[in-house]
Amino acid sequence: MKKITHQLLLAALCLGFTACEPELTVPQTSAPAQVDYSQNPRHQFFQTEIENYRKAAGAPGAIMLVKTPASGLWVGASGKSNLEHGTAMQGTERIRIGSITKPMTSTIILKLKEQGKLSLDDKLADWLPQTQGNIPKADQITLRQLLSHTSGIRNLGDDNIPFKLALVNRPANVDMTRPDEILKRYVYGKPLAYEPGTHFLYSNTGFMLLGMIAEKAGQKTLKTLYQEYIFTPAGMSDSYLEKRDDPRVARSYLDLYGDGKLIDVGDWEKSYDDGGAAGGVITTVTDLLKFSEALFGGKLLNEQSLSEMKGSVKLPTCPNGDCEYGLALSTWNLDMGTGYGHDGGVVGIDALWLYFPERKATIILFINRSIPTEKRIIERVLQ
Amino acid sequence: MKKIKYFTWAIALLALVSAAKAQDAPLSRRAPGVPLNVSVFSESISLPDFKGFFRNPNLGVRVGTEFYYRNRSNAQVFQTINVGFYQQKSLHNAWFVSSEVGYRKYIGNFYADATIGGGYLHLRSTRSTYEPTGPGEYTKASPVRHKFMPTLGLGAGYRFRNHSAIFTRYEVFGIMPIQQDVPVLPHKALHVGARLNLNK
Repeated sequence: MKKITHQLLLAALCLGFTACEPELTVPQTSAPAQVDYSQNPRHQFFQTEIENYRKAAGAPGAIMLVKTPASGLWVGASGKSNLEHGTAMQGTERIRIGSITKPMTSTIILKLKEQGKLSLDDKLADWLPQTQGNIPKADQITLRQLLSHTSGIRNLGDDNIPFKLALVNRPANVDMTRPDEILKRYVYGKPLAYEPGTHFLYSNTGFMLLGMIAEKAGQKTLKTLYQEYIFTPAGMSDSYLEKRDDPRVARSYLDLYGDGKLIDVGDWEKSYDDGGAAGGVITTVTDLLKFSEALFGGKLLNEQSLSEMKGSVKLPTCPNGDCEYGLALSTWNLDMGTGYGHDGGVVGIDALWLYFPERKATIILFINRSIPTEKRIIERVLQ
Repeated sequence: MKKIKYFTWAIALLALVSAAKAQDAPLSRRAPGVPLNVSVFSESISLPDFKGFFRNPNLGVRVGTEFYYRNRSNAQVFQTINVGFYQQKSLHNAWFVSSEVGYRKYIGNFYADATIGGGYLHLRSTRSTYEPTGPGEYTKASPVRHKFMPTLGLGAGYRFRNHSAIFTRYEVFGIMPIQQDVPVLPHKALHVGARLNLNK
């Protein structure tokens, strides 16, 4: 008996040592050299602003793109794209943009509408019959409501604790490129947050559903639709919607334990978000500018579709249409004017894209840490 | 490395089964010896439920003993002291020391028990960790963190005639503190194990 007990203890001790999961290796981040913007008359001011923005957020790295008629194009970076290797952020890295993906998904839906392949008043259950009986009122929820976050379908990211825990437990289990599986596990059978069309509640789930609908209506994979409807016509050669081992992507960081220390979560984001319709685009700030210019320049959608996209939804809570959100396009009413765009966040990044048509000014901000940021920088740099 | 890991887990499981079986000797009328509780378990970060224990599991092992405040043939009030290890593949390796108080009720040779307790968790992150050295400046830091581990457990088992037993145990435990607005990171674990008597 003693022999067996000793064997048992030995086996337990062995387990403690051999079963350890080794520390994950972090590959080097490599991005092409940045164009020299030091001759820009506002270079020093912009550089100081992005430095301060990064430091105020406690982010390892930051990128800013500014384009105005007065100062032209300026792209700059601060800090590190990869803490493991001490790699300086260049500004040419590919970046995850999180929910800035949503206006792109919305563009695809609106393009399909222009082609007569769907209507914004189509019902969810008509396109995805599997949602009937699994999502309440799927036969009443319209595509327009999904696009404007007024469907009542709860958000996977914020309100669903089992989903959030599953993301920490094993990110590959909540892969947004397998929406059917996620819907079955975390969405089906849950009540709506409110009657469709009566309130606004930001919902990644809605965009996951829109991605499925786009694939069905367009008869192509979402990746192909993105290529054909967004990346190619806008000239975005550094962008994609898929999971790739891409060393050009800036690493992402999260303070998971709330003790000020950051952990690298780039692989979490890849497993969970990359390739998904709600937040899976990987791009560069200059490519994002191309999207902005193509969208507002009428290259991607006709005037009516763009107008619908910008037009804020009218709800009982904001009957005059001042909800500041259209069809996946946010309206920012600042002293300097009205801007359109979207913000984005994943597990370890925070990003913002805004275009101010009256000033013909664009700003894109990115940090590689998930933390709320102070946005007064927008008015300072665009004034 | 993976093969060695699975081989070690298999050895541990085999040792458990053979040890419990070897103890199934003729009925002992002596009081139980010093019990040695050994279990292997599958762990997940999750709210309490019974899903996902067997699909690509995060495995752990726990070794401990228990002593009795009340020890009758049909019921026990006891306290455990345990050490253990588990790997949470996406996050950390964890070693723990814990203690629980519990109540165990026997119906024939079968029993059910419930425990509540806490312990110390020594976490070693599998992800590179960086600490701030100034606003937005970071340097590589120790991947070790020290946390409190509250635990709740429900178990069921079968007692052999010489007081050894085999059991299964469902445990909910936490990691605290985590974020300001998140009091605890909940885990669940499903154990399979054996209780052996060292002086038999």
